[in-house]
Amino acid sequence: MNLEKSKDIEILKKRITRRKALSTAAKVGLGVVVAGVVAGVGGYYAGSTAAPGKTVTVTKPTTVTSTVTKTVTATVATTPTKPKKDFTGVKLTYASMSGPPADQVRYAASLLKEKYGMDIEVVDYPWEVFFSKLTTEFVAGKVSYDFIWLDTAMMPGVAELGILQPIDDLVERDKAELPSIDELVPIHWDYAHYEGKLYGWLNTCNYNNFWVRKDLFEDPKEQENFERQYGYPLTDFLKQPDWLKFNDVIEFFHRPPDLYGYVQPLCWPQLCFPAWHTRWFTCTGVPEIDENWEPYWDRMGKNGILSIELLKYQLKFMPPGVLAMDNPDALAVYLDGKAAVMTGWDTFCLFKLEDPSVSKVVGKNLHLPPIGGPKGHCVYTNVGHLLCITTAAKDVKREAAWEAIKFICSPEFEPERTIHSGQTPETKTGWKLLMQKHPELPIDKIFDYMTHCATVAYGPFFGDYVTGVKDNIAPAVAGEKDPEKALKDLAEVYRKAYEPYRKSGKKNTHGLTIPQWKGPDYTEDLCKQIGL
Amino acid sequence: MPLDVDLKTKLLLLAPGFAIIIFITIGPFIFNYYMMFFRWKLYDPIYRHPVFVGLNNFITLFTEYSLFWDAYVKTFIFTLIAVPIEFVLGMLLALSLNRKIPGDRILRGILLIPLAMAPVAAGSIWRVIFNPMNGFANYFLHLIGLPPQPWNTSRSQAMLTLVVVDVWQWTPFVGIVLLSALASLPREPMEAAMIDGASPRQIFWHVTLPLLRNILLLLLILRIIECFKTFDYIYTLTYGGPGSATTLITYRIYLDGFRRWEVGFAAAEAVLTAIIVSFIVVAFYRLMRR
Repeated sequence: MNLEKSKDIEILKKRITRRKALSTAAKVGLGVVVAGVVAGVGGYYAGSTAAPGKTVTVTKPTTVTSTVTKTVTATVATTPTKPKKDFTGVKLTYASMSGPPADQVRYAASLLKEKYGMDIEVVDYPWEVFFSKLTTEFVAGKVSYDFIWLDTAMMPGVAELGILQPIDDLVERDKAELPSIDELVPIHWDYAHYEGKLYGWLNTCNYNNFWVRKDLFEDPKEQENFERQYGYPLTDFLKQPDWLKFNDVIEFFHRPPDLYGYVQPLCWPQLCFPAWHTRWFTCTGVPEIDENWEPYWDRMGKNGILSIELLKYQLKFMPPGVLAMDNPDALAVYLDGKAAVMTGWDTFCLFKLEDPSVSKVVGKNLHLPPIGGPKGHCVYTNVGHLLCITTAAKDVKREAAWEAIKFICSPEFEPERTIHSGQTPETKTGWKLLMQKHPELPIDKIFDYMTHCATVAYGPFFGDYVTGVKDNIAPAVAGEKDPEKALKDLAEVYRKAYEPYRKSGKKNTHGLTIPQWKGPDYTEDLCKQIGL
Repeated sequence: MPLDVDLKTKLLLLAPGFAIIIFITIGPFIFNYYMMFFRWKLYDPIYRHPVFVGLNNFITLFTEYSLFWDAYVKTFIFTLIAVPIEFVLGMLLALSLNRKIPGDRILRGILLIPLAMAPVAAGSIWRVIFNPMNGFANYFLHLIGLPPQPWNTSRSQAMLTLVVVDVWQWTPFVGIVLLSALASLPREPMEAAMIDGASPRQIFWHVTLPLLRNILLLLLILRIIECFKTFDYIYTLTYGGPGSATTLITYRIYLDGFRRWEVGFAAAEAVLTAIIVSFIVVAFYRLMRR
């Protein structure tokens, strides 16, 4: 894998620039400390079976500045001998959320058995309980799984429990076998790191898409009526959507009960993720937490409030009961042909859109580019899923788990696993190959769109974050709470949660960049449009 | 003939049962009371291991944490609506079935179905029924010419939807217990009242109901406790929403304990809830015994 290519990626460049603010002394100091620790630990493990081959780690302080998003330690000077890839008799246990993340490994298990001789047992739980289940087990000191699936956003929390193994050494050793960083979504690569270490390989970006009804947008009568009513062509929206046009479109197509302007799942915890955050990032152009764990929520003034008010305004054009709709409910409305625009996860809805057995809108779907907000230019994603190796996987098991992960995440296998499980690709090549197999899917630009993603940087306090949004933002969207107060209270929840981190001097290294909007700041126009 | 078993054997035979009770009931119960004095947050770098904080958790509950008391207000509203409806409907059911009617045995069997259903399964089924777009509830309303309702998806109706589900599940329980009680009542006082010229209504209010007082009191206590424990319907039907409209007290404790991972704080909330519920039950008991 060519890590140097990362320098070409704009988002990473921005982060690198910011890191330049670190003092040289700190960098050198860090390098020396890390070198000392690594040398000590390396010396201890040199003869042990847990040591990854004969890795000799040499820290290069200079690389800290240029590749900090990849790994702070930037270790490995010599390439270790690759272990033999025969894992006959090795039995791995894999845990994940139920659905595509589990099904992909179930599908791959027989192939991995054939290829490497390993056996894989898959254990899965519904998303709502997966994290709780893992936490209670891990806190009790029990790690029953050799490799696990994680929402990337959950990873820092699990890493903090000390049950994940960094995989920097494996990535460095096998870089020739891995996809280049150009193949990966940059911000997801960033988020796979915690405290400078890579804790999992990128499985899928789990992108939150906007889908629109092509047939409606291409209907000459609709086009004519729209232009007469709003003074610009309906197709402008498809070229470069912004919230002003978005609101016009969903208002125009809102003809209940036969057709609703827009549908997006808004029940908890959906409201915590795709719904409000897309609006937050686009309306404010900032992430949620800064480098010092200080939340932005009560610091963005009118633009912060706009992120909630915008969603409240758009509720008017959604079906009744949308506040209690989960993914299947919202998707059912769209598949039934009753919504002009929908937001949904690719892993969840991609194949259903074009499946005539469940969809009345086959061949009528378009994939909308990311929304350009008054400040930011992005769609929300939780920035995907990772496959991580736990501390239970020692020696040969660690190697076997890594081979399994590499296989499952290889661009060549990604389309296969997507077709058989729904777990969509992460890599550019994976998406291309999938398109070749399924040309009917409107996904030709999906990789480009995914690079305009933003996500939540909640570090290890996933639970505080989710509960804080439920207790504050959800009531604000439902009209129970004043949006300004909601943002202030959410910020307070976070400040309390992160107090120990601030005191300990730990820095936030997650998600500090939002793709910026290249268009004009139309905050005032948007406020006027929604009556704010 | 009584078995001649010595004390040692008795204790030996009782030991497995005691051990189970100690490990799965008394142990966690004591541990919960112990943990309420600690700050224990599973992800926190400082509080990952329990730190003694004295009464701080309670001070926070009483001075800062309004969400806890909001949940209490909602729990009271839920209880005050659901329990009276269940008692009225349960009593009507019991009175209806306490006479010979064709098919009464089959009816009693049908009544038991909601009780036999796991609340989580019931909540999931009701979620489908209440779906405002294509659920059966709105279809039924449409058939009788009424407009569709948002049910669990509206702030104003979500609590009532929870009440509907609770009434559906627990009214048969109330009805069947009262039916058993009615069947076991002595006939003499009623016959005497009838001979004295009392109307059926007078007999019900002045003879039957007072005779049922003890069982009513027991049922009331059980139902109040159950209402304060309501969790499953919320988890499956509303997730505590829309907004926070149906975040009752157990769901609040769940969020704090198993979402925020504030284990010590959630233990304090649970203990405070146990105290409050005990107080309510004792107050009701004394009121009814007067």
